[in-house]
Formats: sequence, structure tokens, C-alpha cells
Amino acid sequence: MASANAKAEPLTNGKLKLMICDDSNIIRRKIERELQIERLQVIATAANGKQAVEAFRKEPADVVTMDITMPEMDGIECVENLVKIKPDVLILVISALSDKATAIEALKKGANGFLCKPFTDRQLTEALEELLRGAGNDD
Amino acid sequence: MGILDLGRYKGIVFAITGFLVFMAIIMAVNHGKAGQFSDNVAGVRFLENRAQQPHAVYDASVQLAQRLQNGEKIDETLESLRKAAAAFDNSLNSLANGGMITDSTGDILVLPSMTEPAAVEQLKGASKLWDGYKAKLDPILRFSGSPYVTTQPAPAPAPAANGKNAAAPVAAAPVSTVQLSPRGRRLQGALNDLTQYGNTAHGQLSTVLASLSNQVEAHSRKQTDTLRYIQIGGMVAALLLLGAIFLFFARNLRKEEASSNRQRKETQDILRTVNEGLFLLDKDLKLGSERSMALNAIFRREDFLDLTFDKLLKDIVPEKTLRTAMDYVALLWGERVNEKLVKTINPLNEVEVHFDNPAGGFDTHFLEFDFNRVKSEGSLSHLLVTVNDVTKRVMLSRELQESQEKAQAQLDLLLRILHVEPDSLTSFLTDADVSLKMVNSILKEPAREESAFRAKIDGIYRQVHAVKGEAAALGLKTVEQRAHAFEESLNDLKGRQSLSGSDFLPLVVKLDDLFNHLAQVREMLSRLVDLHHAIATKRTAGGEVGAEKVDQWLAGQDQTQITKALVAPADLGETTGAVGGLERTLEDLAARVASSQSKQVNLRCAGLDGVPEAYRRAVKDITIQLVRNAVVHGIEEPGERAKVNKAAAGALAVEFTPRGSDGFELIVQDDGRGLQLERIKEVAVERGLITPAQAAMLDPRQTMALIFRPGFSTADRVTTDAGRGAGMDLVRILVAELGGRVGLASAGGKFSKFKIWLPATQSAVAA
Repeated sequence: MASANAKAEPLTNGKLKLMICDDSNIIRRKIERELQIERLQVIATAANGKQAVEAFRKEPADVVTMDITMPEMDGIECVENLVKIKPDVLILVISALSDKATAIEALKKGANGFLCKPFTDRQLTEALEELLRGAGNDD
Repeated sequence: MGILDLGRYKGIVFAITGFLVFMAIIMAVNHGKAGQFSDNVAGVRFLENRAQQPHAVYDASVQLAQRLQNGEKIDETLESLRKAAAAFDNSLNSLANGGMITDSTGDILVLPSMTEPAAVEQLKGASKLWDGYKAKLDPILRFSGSPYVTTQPAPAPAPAANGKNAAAPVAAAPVSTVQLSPRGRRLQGALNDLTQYGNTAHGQLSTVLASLSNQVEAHSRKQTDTLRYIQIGGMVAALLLLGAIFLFFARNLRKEEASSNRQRKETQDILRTVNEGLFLLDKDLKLGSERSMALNAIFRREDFLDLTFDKLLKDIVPEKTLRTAMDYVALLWGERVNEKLVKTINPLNEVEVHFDNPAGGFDTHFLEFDFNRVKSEGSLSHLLVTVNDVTKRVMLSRELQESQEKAQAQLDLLLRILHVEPDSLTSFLTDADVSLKMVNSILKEPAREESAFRAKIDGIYRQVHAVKGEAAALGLKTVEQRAHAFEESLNDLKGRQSLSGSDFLPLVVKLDDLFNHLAQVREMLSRLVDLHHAIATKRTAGGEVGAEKVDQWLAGQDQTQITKALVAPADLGETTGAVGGLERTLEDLAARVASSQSKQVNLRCAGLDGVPEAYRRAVKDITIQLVRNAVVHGIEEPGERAKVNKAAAGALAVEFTPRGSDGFELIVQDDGRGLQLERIKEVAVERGLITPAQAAMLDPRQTMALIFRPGFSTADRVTTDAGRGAGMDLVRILVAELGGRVGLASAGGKFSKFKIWLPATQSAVAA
């Protein structure tokens, strides 16, 4: 599935790679700290879409959490770029539920799920687990 | 489904296969039996043919004897006897050898009936007869050469006596000179012997063969009968089998039909009874034919045939919601999205819909849609849509929220009232009452022309704006919100192309709302005052601890203030009390607006206790407006101020100074960013107050004057703090109404200063 230019080595410990993309470093740290899924390991964090795409080009993650409203490049454009680089990437959009249409726009570009801000660690864990489970079902 | 996975068709496939196999067996047997017919026919023909052979042998022997008698040549006849004998011998051997015969075409056939015991017995008898025959034939067949000697012309004696059946001796020709040689005589003897034997034997042999032929024929007939029985049996069996299959399947079919009927009925019962609206959506977003009856009630329609999802929603939800909903449904049809992780952004989760009411207008309902993917054989075949009318639930939760908000607002109001100087509050209530009565009378004024309507709006606007400003200054949020809503309605009217009397009707409702609310505030205030009097009375009577507790409760944290406020009415004079109230009001206002704008401000007031009664109301309205403007527009945020080396808190001064016979001077000055002339021009152009060309021509003085024009405001959004654009307009009008003047000085980045001159009043002059 993955395009040829984006095939990076899997982690030696067999875990899936996670990239966190959010302009708030509080949220970034919250996600890192509260991540309770053994299978995932954070390999990169990005404060805007541009950084995310650059980091992703160097080493594509398997799973990405994505904010929508960010400077430089917003989440919608970023999702579009990431999916182009690696079509089977799993993207969880994490944003405030002020405008459903915007969230739907991000999903149209290829994101796989949505988690509403603010979220608890349990909601985050459940959403990421569901994201990984959904991917398993599709195979 | 594999090719061998026949499912419910297994039975019929097996039955038909069995039937075909049975038919094939019958046909094969038939074919085998039929093949024997030709063999039998050939056999019969063979035997009939061979039955003649003994006659031929006998005839040949008789003929030979005749010829010998007559002295004729015997070679040919002897040869035919040999042949006949050999042929018969051959035939008999063949028959005895398991009935193997050669038919006319040279093919070797086997006659199975020749191996039957009766035939074998007969053949054995025939062989024995033939063996006897052969023994007598043997010397004759071995004969060769001539049986005659020629003795001319001696007359031949009569030959030996003929056999009984021998041909009548023919008188020897007188000229015959041929006589039998001794070998000839021996031959003649043997012949006689043979013919004698043959006379009986050939008939017997023929009979045996004929009988065998009959047997073959009988055998053949028997086979024909067998074949017929097999065919009849086969046909009967086939018919029975077919009948059985038919019965079996008819029964099964009936059973299946009954079961599927039952299932269909159960499904229909469910769909008829279930409270949810249920239907399936296919890939073209068309509604499936099976759906629950509840849909009719939910969507108020009977006809769902060939309906698509967007058509179902088109008339009942706004365009934008419909678009978002269609996008959402399209997402669910895609492969990427995780169904469970997008439930929260379902735009139809709790959607407001409008149904036309036949009696006019429309009914508002709230519907809740839920979408679930239906997979069949691993791929997405449909979306199951569940719809519920959740109007009651939504309404209840809204009511609950409203009543909570209302309770909270009353509590806030109560707490706020506890913090407000009773005088300020009383004064506000009186002023507001006057203002609202004025609004009422303006509303009642007759008006026909457009300009009169516009004048009415402006008049009402000024009154309501003043109420709002004062309420804001006192922190009476509930009053401020209502006045703000009133202003919004007025703005709406202002924006209309043309106006009529009926456009003002909704204002009456708003006005009523404000009146009622102010009555509530008054009621609350009077109860508090009563409570205070009760406590005060008790305290003077003996200083009850309980009363103090109530006092503390009422005061919250700021106990001194509430005590002071509640005690105040008795101690303070009317004028000073009111002005002292203004100072406090302005301080409160400045602090509150500053905090909402994330700014800091120090307000300094001077001389406000010297405001004459005639100007009290106007000064209050003007200072409220200018203080608010100064905090919102003039004073910068602390960060910005730090950059230009200003103190974090802005300095704001309000000074009222009597100038004797020259009247009074009111100055409101701040150390903020000053008037931004370019921004004022931009806004004026945006608001359509001037053209860009005019803007370019304006000098600073003229530019500053723009802020007094109706409809001007530099705040980007309309909030209760600023942005309506009526404030400075109001100041100008108030001052003009009192016969005063407004002056304005400003230096970019440094300060703004409003200087208002008011003429001397009767009372002021007198004082």
C-alpha cells in the first residue's frame, strides 16, 4: 500500500510509530504523558503542519494525532499531505468540536477518526485503540 | 460460495442426479438387451439355413447313387456331397462349441441359448446321429477316381438291386458299354447303406436344427419380454421417483414458504411496532423498501418510494447542515474512516428540523440520526439509519438549562445588588424607569413617514443605550443583556430598507421584558432593605448574634461594604449620595471593562460631587460612555504599554469643575494610544460614512470629528462593552441638548482628552 518513497524501517521493538501534531505544547505533552498503549511509541512531535510533513518525510509514522487549527499549515492540508506520502497512515484528528464541517473536511482528506478536545486520558486511549482495531478489521 | 456448497438446493440436486443415474442404468440395460436381438435374429437365420444342410447331404447322396446307377459321371456330385457334409459338420461343431456361429457377414456371433442344457442335450443327440452319418459317409467321401470300367460291347448285367427308396432303375442303354468297377460296386454298396441311414437320419438332424432354431426364437422372445418388463419397470420406477421428488420438494417448498412468510411477518411486525425510524441507505443514498412505520410520523410523510436521503432532508434542514450531512454520510461509505471514531461529529446527531404546518408557519422538531455500517460478505452493502424524534428530550434539557441560567442570573443579580450602593441602584431604577417610559411614549407617537420612523428609532436608541450603559456600570448584567437585545432589534430595524408601523410591534415585547425585569430588581432591592431594617432594629435592640450572621451571609466576603451600603440611605443626602454613587459606578465600570479586555486601569475622579442636579443624569451618561470608550479604545494592553515605557495600568481621569458664570467643565482624559486617525478614516469609509476620496482630503480635526457621526465605531465586533457605534453620537447629542460643546484633543500614542463645556444652570448660578 505505502508508496515506495515512504518506506522507512519499522521499529526494532516491533512497536508502531506515533507522531503528535498540535500547536499547543501542553496538548503535545499531555498526549505523550497519557499515552498508555504498549504498541505505540512516539517518534516525533510537531507544532504545525509544515513541521509534521517534514518529519513525516524523514520517517513516516504509522499513527498520527492531528490538531486542525495550527499556524503555517493547518491540519486539513497536513492530513492531505501525509496521506499522499503514506496512504495507509492512521490519522486521529483531535480538535475542539466547534465546527463539525471542518472536522468532516479533514476526514474527507483521509483522516480516520476524530477525538473531541478537551479529552481525558481514558478517551485518548480508547480512541487510539479503536483506531488501531479499525485498521485491523479493514485488512 | 464454493461450487459444491449447494446450500438449500442440495436436496434437489441429489434427487435429480439420482434420477438421471437410474435412467442411465435402465437405458444401458435396454441397450445391452437390444443388442442381443440382432444376434438372435442372425442365429435363427443361421439355424434355419443349417436345418437344410442334412437334406442337402441326403439329396447329394441320393443323386450320387442315381448317377452311379446310370453310369454317369459322379465327380461333381461327389464334390457337392463332400461340401454339404463338410458344411454341416462345421455348423454342428460350431453349435456344439458354445453356440459360436459365423453370420452372413462373416462376424462371429455367440448364441447363448446353445449352452442351455436342453440345447446341449439335443446337440449331443444330433452329434451322435451325425457321427453315425459321418461313419457311413466316410468311405464315400474318400472315394476318388472312376467307379466304372469300359467293356465293349458286352451287355451289362443288371446292377445290384437298388435300395428301397432308390430311384427306379433305369434300363441300361442297349448301347451302354460302361460297367461298375469293383470299387464302383463297393461305392454303390456304401451309398446304398448311406441312403438307407440317411433316409431317417437327415430328417432327424433337420428336426434337431429346426428345434434349436425354435429355441433361439423362443429365447429371443423371452428376452423381448424381459426387456419390455425392464422398460415398463423402469418407467414405473421413474414415475414413482419423479412423484416422490415432486412430493418431497412440494412439501419442502411449502415449509420454506411458510417459514419465510413467518419471518417476513415478524419483520413487518417489528417494523410496524418499533418506535425508532429505521431504514437502509444504499450506495446511491436511496432509501430501502423495508422501513419502520415510525418514519411516517417522524418525517410527516407517507411516500418514501425512490426517495434519496438528500431529498428526505432537503426541505427540513438548512442548506449548510444538509451539505455537511451528505459529506458525513459519504465518509461512512468510504473505507478509511473508523465508524466509531466519527460518531461525535455526526452533524445529524441532534438536528433541528422544520416541518411546514398546514395551519401556517412551521413546527420545530429535533431529530437524532444514527448511522451504522451494514456489511455483507465482508463488504459494505448498506448504511442502517436510525432516527429518533428527541424534541421532548431537547426541550426538557433546554428548559432545565434555562431555568438553571435564570436561577443563576437571579442569584447573580441578588449578589450584584448587594454590592451596589443602594443609592446608585435607586437612582438607576428611577432613571431607567423614566427612560423606558419615554421609550413607551415614543413608540406611541403617531408616525407615517419613513423619516418619522427613523427618528423614532434614534430616539428609542438613545434611551435604551443609556439604560444599558448605566446597567453595565453598575454590573447589572441581566439588565444590560436585555437592553443589549433591545438595541440589537433596533439595529435590525435601522438596517431595513423601508419601515412600517408593524415593524415596531416586537419592540413592545422587548420593552415589556425590560420593565418586568426592572420591577424584579426593584422588588429584590425593597426586600433587602426590609431585611436590613429588620436586622438593624434587632441589632439596636440587643445586637443579636443571629442577625450578624445573616448580615455576614448577605455581605459575603465584603462585609464592610454591604453594611455601609445598607446603612447608607439613612445617612447620606440626596445629591452627594447620588454623585458618590457615580464615582463608585465609574470605578466599577472601569475595573470591569478593563478586566474583560485584559487591561489594567487606574481611575481618578474629581469634583463629581459638585455636579448640579440638572446635569446629574447627563453627566452620568456622558462619563459612563467616555470611561468605557477610554478603556476599550484608548488604553493599551499591559504588554503594549510596556513596549512604549508606560506603566502597566493606564491612567484615566474624570474631572468636573465649576467655572462660575462660565458654566462647568467636564474633562475625561486617558494616557492611552490616542485617536488613530488612519484607522478612523478606514472605518468611516468601511461604514460608508465618507468616500475614500473624501477621506484623503480630511485634516486631523475633521477626522476626529468623524467619531461623533452616527453609526461610527472602531471596535471590530459588537459586544456589550463597545462596538455599537452609537456612543460618541450619544455624547454629542446629550451635550447639544444641554446647550454645551464638546472638544477633543489627542496625540498619537500618548493621550486622548475629551473636554465638555456645559452652560451655567439656574440652580448652579444661584448656588
